[in-house]
Amino acid sequence: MASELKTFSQGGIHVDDRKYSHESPIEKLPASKLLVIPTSQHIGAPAKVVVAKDQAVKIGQIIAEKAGFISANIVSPASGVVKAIEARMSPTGFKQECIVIENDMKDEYFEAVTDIAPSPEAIEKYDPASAVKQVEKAGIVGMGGAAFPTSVKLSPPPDTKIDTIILNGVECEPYLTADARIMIEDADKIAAGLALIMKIFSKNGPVKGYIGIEANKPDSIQKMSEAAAKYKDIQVVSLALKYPQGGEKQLINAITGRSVPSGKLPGSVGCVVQNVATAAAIFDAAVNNKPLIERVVTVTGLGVKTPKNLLVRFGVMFTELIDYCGGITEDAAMLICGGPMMGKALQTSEVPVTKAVSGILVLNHSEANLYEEAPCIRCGRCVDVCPMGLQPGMINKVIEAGEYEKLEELAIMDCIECGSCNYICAGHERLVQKIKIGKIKLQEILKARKEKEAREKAKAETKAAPQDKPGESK
Amino acid sequence: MSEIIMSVLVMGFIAIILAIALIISSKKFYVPENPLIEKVAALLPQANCGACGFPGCAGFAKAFVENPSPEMRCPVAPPEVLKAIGEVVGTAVGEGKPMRAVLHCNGKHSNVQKVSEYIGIRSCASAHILYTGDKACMYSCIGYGDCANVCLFGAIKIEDGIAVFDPEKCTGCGLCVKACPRHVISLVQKRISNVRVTCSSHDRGPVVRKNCKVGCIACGKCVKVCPKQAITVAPGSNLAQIDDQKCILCGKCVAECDIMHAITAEGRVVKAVEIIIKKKQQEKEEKQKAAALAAAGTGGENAAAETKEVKS
Repeated sequence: MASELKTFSQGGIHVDDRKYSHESPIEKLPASKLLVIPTSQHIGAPAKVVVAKDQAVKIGQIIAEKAGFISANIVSPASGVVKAIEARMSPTGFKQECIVIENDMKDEYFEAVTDIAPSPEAIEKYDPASAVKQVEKAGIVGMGGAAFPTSVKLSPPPDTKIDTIILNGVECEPYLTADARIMIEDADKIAAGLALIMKIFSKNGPVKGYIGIEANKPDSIQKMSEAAAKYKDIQVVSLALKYPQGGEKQLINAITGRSVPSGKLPGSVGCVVQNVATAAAIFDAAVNNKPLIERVVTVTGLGVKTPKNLLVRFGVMFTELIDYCGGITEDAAMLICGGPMMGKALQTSEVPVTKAVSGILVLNHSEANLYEEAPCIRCGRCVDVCPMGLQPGMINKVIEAGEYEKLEELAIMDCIECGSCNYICAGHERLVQKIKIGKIKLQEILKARKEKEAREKAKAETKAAPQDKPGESK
Repeated sequence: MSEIIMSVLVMGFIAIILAIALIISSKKFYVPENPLIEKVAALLPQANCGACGFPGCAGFAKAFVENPSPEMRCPVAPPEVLKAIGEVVGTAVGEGKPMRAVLHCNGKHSNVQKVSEYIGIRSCASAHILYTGDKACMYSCIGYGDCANVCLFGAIKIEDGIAVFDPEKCTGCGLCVKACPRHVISLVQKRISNVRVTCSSHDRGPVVRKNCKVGCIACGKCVKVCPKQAITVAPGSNLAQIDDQKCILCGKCVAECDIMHAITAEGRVVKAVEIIIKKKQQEKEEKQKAAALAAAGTGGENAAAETKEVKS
C-alpha cells in the first residue's frame, strides 16, 4: 500500500524530518504590551498606513490599506494606541516601515464578531458573494510562508476555469509542525474553510476539494479525514514523503497529475492551492467576521530548550517566543525565520512575528554546521533532484562566469529556491544563494532590455511622425 | 631509409597543397579593414575594461574610426594618448576629465561594531540581498571585495573591513562603482588631494552615533563654513554631500567636523586642516585668557582693551 502513495513526478529529495514539536499541543502566548506591525508582510506592494500617531485602534481595524492589486490590508492585532510609525527591523532581515501599537489588554473588537461553529449547515447557509470582500478586509494572506494575498488568489481572471481546490497540509519543511498541529486541533474549521472556498468557485461548474498531507503525520490525516467526511467532494490524500512536496506546483502534480507550465500560475491548469491555516482563517473571516490577528508559530530546533507550537498575536517579538519556550541552550548558534530549507537566517531576535512567519528555528552548533565549499565534480545530482527540471550546477557555472544573459535560456526564473540542489551537492556549493544573485542580475538585464525597446519604439514613432505630416498636407 | 624519404615526400606534398589552398582562400575571402582601427587599438590602454561602453579597446577603436565623435571618450587613457589618437584619426577623442574612485565610508572594524557572523558566499552582492550586513550600519561598505574583484588595475585592496583605493593605479573606469551593491563608491576628479564625506548613512543622527564612531550625523556645521556652498544636506537624507566640482580643497569643513570626523582629507589638504585646527585652538586659548582676565575683576576693562590691541 505504501508504495502506491502519490507524490510529484520530477526530482525531490528525502530529508530527515526532525519534527521535535509534533506532540506538543498549541499553546496561546499572552499578547505583549508593545506590538510592532511591519507594513510589508506579504508579497507585493507594502500597505499604506492610514492611522496617525497617538490614534486609538481596536482589534480588526485596518491600520494599513492595500496599495495596488497584489497587496493586502493590515489590521490591528490588539486594541490600544499607535505609539509610533517608524522604520524597524523586520523578519526579512531589513528595516521596514512599522506601526508600533501599545496594547491596552482590553481586547476590544472594532466590529462585532460572531462565534458560529464550523459545520456543513453553516456553510450551506452562508452566501459566498461577500466572501472575497471579507477575506480582503481581514487582511488574509497565504500562511504557508510565501504570504501571497489570498483575496487575489480567490478572484482569478474571469477566463480561467477552476475545478480543483487543494489544501496544502504537506508541511514538507523539516522541523516545522504548526500546520500539522492545526490539522489535529482545528480540523473542522479547515474542512469548513475548504468547503467555503469550493462554494465560491462552484458558480462555474463542479469543484473538487483535496487536502494533501504527507504520510508522516498519521494523526493529522485521521483527524482531517473525519472532518472531511461531513462534506461532499472533499478527499484527504495521503502523500509519500518527499521534499519539496509543499511547493504549489509540486503539490498540484502530486495530487492531480497536472503540471503547471513554466511561468504560469496554478489557475492555468484549473487549480487553486491554499494552506490549511489559510482555509481556517478564511472561514473565520467570512462566516464570523474575525480578522487575521494571530497565527501558529513553531519554535523549535536543538538550540531551544523546549520546542513548542505557539498561537501568537502578530507583532510579538521573537525574543518573547523563545523565552516562553525556556530560552536558548548554551550551544545555540543560528537563528532562522521559517524552515531550515527555505528559511532566512536572522542576525537578531528583536523582530516581530508577521503573517509569513511559520516557524522560528534556533539551531545548535552541530545542526548549523556548514561544510566548506569545494569544487563542482559534475556529478549531476543537482539536476536529478531539481523539482523544476533545471540544471543548478550549470546555472552556478554561468553565474560564476558572469554571463548573466545565458540565465534566461536556463530558465532560472522557474527556480523555486527550495534548496534541494544545495542539500544534495557533493561539493557543498551555495547553489541557491548564487541563483538568488543570478535572478536579480537577470531581472536587471531584462528591465534594461525592455527600457531600450521602449526607447527605440518611441524613437521610431517620432521619426515616422514628421513623414506623415507632409503626407497629410498633400 | 626509403620509408623516411617516402613519408617526408608525402608530408611535403600535402603541405604544399594546403599552403596553396590557404593562399588562395586568404586572397579570395580577404575582408578589407580600415588600417586606422589597428593603429588606434594599439594606442589604447588595452585594459578592455569596458568603461567607454564598447566591448573592449578593439571595440572602441572600431566604433571610433568608423564614426568619430568627440562625445566618445576613454576615461582610462592619459591625455597624451588621446591626443595621439586624435592625430591618427583626425578627430580628437573627447577629453573626459580624468577621474578616480573613492569610498564614502570609514566603517573599519575599529569604528563600526560587528553584529553577526556571515558564513555564506564571500560576496558583497550576496550579503546585501540577504540582510543588512555583519556591521551595525546598514549603509556601510560590506568589505567582501566585489569591487576589488572587478578592478582590472589592482587599485583596490580590502583592509580592516573596507575597500582602500590606490589613487595612482585607479584609472576611473567606474567598474567598481557599478559592482558595489551599497553604492558607497563614487568617482571624483583625479587629483591627489581630495575632501569627501566618508559616510553614506541615511540614518538619523542618534542612530548613526550608536552604530559608528565616524558617521555623518547631518549637523550642518560643514555647510555653514564652506566658502563655495559646495556642501549640501538634502532634506530627509540625513547626510552631507560635497560637490567635488565646486570644492576648492580649503579644508575648513574637515576642521569643523571635529566630533564625528566624518569628512576626510587627502593629500595637501591634510596639512591645511592641521593649520586651521591649530589656529582655532590658539583663538580659543586667547578667548579663554581674555575671559579669565575679564573675570579677574578690577583690571577687567583694561585687560580687554589690551587683548584687542594685541589682536589688531
